Amino acid sequence: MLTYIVRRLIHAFVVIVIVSIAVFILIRLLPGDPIEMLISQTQLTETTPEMIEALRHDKGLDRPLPVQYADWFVQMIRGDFGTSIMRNFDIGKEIGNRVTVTLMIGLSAFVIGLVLGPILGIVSAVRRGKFVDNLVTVIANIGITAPAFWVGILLIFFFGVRLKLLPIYGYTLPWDDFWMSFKQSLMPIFVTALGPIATTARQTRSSVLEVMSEDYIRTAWAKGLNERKVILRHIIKNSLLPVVTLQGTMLRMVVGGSVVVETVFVIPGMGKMMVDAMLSHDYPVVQAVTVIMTLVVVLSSLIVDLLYGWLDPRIQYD
Amino acid sequence: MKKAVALVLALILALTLGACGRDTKANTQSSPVPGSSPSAAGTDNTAAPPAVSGAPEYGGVLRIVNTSEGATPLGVPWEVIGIDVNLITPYGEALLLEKTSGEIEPWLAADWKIDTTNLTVTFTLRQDVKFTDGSDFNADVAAWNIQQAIDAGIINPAISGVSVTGPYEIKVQLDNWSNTILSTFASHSFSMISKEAFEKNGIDWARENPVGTGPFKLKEYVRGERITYEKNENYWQAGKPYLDGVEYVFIRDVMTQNAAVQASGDQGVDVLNTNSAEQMITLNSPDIYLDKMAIGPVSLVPSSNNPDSPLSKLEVRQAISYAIDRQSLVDARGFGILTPATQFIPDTWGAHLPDSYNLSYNTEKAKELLAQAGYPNGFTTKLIAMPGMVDKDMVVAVQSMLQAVGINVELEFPDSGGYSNYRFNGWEGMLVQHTRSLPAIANTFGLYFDVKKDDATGAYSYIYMPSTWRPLEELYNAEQAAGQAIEPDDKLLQDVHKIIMDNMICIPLYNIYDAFIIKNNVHDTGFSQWGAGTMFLPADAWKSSK
Repeated sequence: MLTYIVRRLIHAFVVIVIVSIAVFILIRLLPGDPIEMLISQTQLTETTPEMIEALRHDKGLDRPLPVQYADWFVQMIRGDFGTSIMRNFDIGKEIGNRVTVTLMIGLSAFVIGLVLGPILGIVSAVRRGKFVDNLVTVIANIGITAPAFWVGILLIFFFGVRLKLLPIYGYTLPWDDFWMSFKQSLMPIFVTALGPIATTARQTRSSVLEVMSEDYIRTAWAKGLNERKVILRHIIKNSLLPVVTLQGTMLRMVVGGSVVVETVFVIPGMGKMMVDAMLSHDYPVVQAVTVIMTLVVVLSSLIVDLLYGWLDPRIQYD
Repeated sequence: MKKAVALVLALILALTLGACGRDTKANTQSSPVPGSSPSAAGTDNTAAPPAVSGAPEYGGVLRIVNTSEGATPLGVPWEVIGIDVNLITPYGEALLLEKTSGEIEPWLAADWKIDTTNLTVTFTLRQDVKFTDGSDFNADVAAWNIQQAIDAGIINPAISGVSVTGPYEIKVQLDNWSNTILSTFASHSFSMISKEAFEKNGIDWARENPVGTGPFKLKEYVRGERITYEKNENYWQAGKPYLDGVEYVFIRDVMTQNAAVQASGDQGVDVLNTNSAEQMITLNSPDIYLDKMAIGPVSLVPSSNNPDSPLSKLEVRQAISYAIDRQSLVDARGFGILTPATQFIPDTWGAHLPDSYNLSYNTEKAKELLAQAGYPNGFTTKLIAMPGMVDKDMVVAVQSMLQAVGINVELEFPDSGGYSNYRFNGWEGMLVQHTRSLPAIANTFGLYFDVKKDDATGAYSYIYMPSTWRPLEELYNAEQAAGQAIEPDDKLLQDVHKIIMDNMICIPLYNIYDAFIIKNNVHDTGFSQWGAGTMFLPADAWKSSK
């Protein structure tokens, strides 16, 4: 097991290196120069080429690309993500502030998805063809297909503007003001959780139905076991494997989905940081956030793979 | 199954209609009385706030939407650039104020004297001003602030130095005369900060901890969300400010901006600044008023990169102007707000030319001119649209209008980085650019045409137009003459404008507006009365409880 984990961590490191190189190159291939953007934010500034070059030198962008990358990567390994080109802040410190916000929203949504998704899926499968099944199916299909930003805007107009029940923008940490935090979090968490709930419900339903058609389940019914025992002891555990796989993907979606949700609800998290940095060609910020997101994806994959072994003893790590 | 589907769909439909449906009452009621205040150059208030009797009320927080996030720490004004400069307004004050009309008013400087012979400006400073750290605002501090801006290279390059000539008097030395020099000192980029706090704590501290003389002081800056200012209880204007605070909220998404304006109480915002005519109309309701000012046209700017391109020929540029039906453009996408632009400088400014300079829509004339220029079958070119300020549907419409006279147009919609690249380094085809008209019109010409990347000064103008056309050289000389006249001279400014229009160096399309959508209970912000440097006077703003 330990060997497997070490091997996977080495793989993770390689993935991060590859992703970081790809992002480093791709963002520089986009048209536009951050220094020119920095200067051109005002129509009123008169600028000389010397000023531009001095600024470029100051930001370290006049060095050869391999040198820039190597410097950045070595610093990153040491825990120093550098300084934002456009906003002059310490990126590591800023990520530290923002990751808390993103995780508060994202993990809450993930847990809700993790609990509600399987419950709805199981209920739907066990009551196949009944009203509950149809209702869950329809809601799940909507949850899968409705774009998060659309649902978000709809909720803002309905609960924020019309009913005046919930704040429509901003975020407060729960330890600063719990009640405000609760109110501000409801809509973003719902929007973030909607996709995972729907997808998990659908996957669980399929998986449960498949297990229910197995001979050993039929035997369990035939033995006269009551419904609760059959479902809890036999169906759920055996149908969970694909659902667990899916949760790995959901965890990634929670981080990735923050890009849309945080922009719509004006939440100062990692997603909004990424959007702002992309739009302003803030290279080191984009690189840092991408690496953090890659790390989340890689680690969530590792956790899922480790969970497989716990759920299904037939899986061997060697 | 069918019942369940019907039930869910009905629920969604109800939710959607409930959320998206507009308040018919709001739509059917007319806006507050239009045009009640005198129209300064560039100012065009279409609505005024409801009349309020009695003295201003105290209390409340003014929430303003900023459509993008602050890019730089706010505490060191000479480092703050671009759109962030307006975020300094609550804490920072400059020596002067500038109105939209270009008129200059005293502020931290109570008076000034200009000596055009010796090229100096002497400012007499107010003596009753303190910074929020308790230190005194005096000549030494003012000179130090201006020197920092000179050292940082962001101030008007005509300014070569500053000296202290009395406890509350400074003298600014110029290398050459510019009749718009005073507007420099009205920008928040040159707001005064406490020298004592800066020297005691260092620049890193100062960046995050603004210490100004303004009516508010920084309370909290949550990057990505908001900046909150609280009242400066020791503000030098007795009895002001009226508000308890000012808060800038960064909302990028247009739908969320709209929702924030439409929401009330603590959920809502009080002011939204937008250039989108569609947004101005969408948010029109009895609860808000629209304070808007003309900020110049969106224009086609032909590339002068290639002296042999079709665009280098005057007849071609004139043909393009004749081919564009500006009235149809604004009828289709102007939402009753935008107006056709036939000149580079709109009619609310002094340099505007007689109507004889307007080129009306005439496709036959356009085709005739193309044939004269040697392109009877047209040619192929490109339109590159400025992001944010330009309506994409308008650009598509221009494409089809040019197609109608035989000019094939490819469209490009770059992001701001890509667009900056074109502006700085040149482009092929035409930029679709907002050519902003500034309060002092000589500054407008200076912004676009006074320096050339390839000339001896080595400085950049806002758009890179190498002088491959003779009119560009002529334009440069005329612009220099207009800027260096002792006093702003409408005749000289019109001469510059004539060169632009006679040679179609820019082809205006439609006039756009800077609009402030303001809740009815917000008073005396005067956004449209003040130039881009001053923005507004937060000390005067107040909110009524009704």
